[in-house]
Parts: sequence; C-alpha cells; structure tokens
Amino acid sequence: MPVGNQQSMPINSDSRWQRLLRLVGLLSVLCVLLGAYTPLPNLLARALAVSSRVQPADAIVVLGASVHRDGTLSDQSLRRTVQGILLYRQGLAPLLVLSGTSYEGSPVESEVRAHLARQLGIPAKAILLEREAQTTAEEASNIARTLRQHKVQRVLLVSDALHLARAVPRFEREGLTVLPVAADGLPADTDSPDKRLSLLIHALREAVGRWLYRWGG
Amino acid sequence: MDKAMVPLLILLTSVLGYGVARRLWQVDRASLARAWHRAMELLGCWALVYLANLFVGATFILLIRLLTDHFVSLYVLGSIMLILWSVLQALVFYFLWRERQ
Repeated sequence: MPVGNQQSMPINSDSRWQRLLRLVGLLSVLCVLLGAYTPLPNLLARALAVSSRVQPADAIVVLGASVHRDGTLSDQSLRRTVQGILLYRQGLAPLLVLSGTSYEGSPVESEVRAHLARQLGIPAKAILLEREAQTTAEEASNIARTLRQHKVQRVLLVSDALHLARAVPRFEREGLTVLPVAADGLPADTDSPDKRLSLLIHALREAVGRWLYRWGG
Repeated sequence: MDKAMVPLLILLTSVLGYGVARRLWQVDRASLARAWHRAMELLGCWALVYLANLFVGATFILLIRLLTDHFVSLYVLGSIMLILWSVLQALVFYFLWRERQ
C-alpha cells in the first residue's frame, strides 16, 4: 500500500499540471481567435484612444518615436512631425517643440525632425528641441520645464491616438493644459486578422503602460 | 473571400492530414483527442514561459534603469526573437516534464 501511495502522488501532481497547461493553451487559442476574427481589438482601441481637439495654443509638442541609423525617420515619427508642421502652418501656435533622442547610435531624432521642419518652411527661431528624454514621462517633465521658461500654458500634443491616452495625463500632471492631436487617426476600422492582432497587441501595451504610469508616477 | 482563405486552407489541410494519418498509422479519434490535448499542453507551456520571460524581463529592465545610468527600453520585450526563444525553451521544458512522467 505504501508503494501505491508513493506512485499515485506524482501522477496526481502531473494531472494538475496537465489540466493547467491545457487550460492555458486553450485560453491562448481563444485569445488569438477573438483577437483576429472579432471586433474586440477595435473596441478596445476605441475605448483607449484619445480624440483630437485642435484649437489655438501656445505651443505644439511633437512626441518622439524613433529614427533609423541612416538618419531616416520611422513612419510613426515622420507622421507625427508632418502633423506638427501642418498645425504650425495653420497658425495654431507660434512654437514647435520637437522631441526625440538618439537610439543605439542613430542620429538625434529631434535634430532630424528640425532639419525637415526648416526645409518645409518653419523658421528656426520657432523650433525648440528636446534631445535627452528616453521615455514619455521624461519628455513630459523636460518639455514642461522648457515651456515654463517660455510662459507656455496651453499645448497641442501630437502623438498616436493610443499613445496619447498615456501621454496626455502625464503632461497634465506637469501643469500644462493639453489639447491632444492624433497623428494617425483612430485605428479602429481595421478588419483584417493580422492587423487586428497587431492592434490588440498595441492596445494592450498602451493599456499596461498607462497602468504603470498611474501606479508608478 | 480573402479573409476566409486562411481558415479554409487550415481546415482543408487538417482534414487531409488526418485522413493520411488514419491510413498510414491507423490512428483513431481517441488518438486525435490525445494529440489535441498534448498540443494544448505544449501551447500552454509556451504561454507560461513567454509570460515569465516578459515579467522577468520587465523587472530586470526596471532594475537596470533604477540602479544604473543605462537606459533600456521596455519595447525590447516586444521583439519577435523573445517569442522564438520562448518557443524553444517551452519545447525543452515540456519534454523535460514529459520525461519525468
């Protein structure tokens, strides 16, 4: 009998593990199916995304994305920069703040953006650069410090619709009045399985980021 | 029709594969159920290993940021390589665990 007991213990233990692994595996399959073939990611993105409020302000702040080692801006960075330049050219604010640091040996993103802005007719004296910040939180505190010196209170904050959900509260915490401007529109109409999965991952990442910012300050 | 193409393809090759397996290896429906269970176990093992990698990775990165001047982005955890390495880890851990049974 003792031998039987000794044999049955690991088997029961393994059965529990088997059940757990099967359950987690099944949940993973369900998550992928729900993410790819239902509008769940679209609903989640719509709930998280921030809509644009384009009004006159004291400055336009364009948040960093990334730049390649050869000095070309990433799609995201280029989209945000062009949006900022368009807002400036519409006369919505007299200052254009371009953010973006260097990534693993790449040129400084904000400098590449400033070069583009000048080529597109933005006067050099209207451009301010934030070169050091590595995270959205650092961008908020560094840029707010610079803008206080220019007596700026109200800013048009340019980023992606999902990233704005995290960035707007962080800039507001610095005492600025923030008008969000989404450079990519609401990514809610995607209907191909691949794009839906990609949207789901993006939305979940931003949701976690937002939670971390709220929790960690 | 375009969106239905991939699910239809998978359905077709699954039915064909099962048909071939029945002829070549004389497997029955119970074998198919067991194979499904094993596949779910393996997938579950991968999911747990991947989540563990994400958690340990995020903790490690936050500690590096806290304790040193070096900046490591949390975005590195979105790398496709982390998924692939986790698959390899999960395969090893799963078969190690099966070995014990």
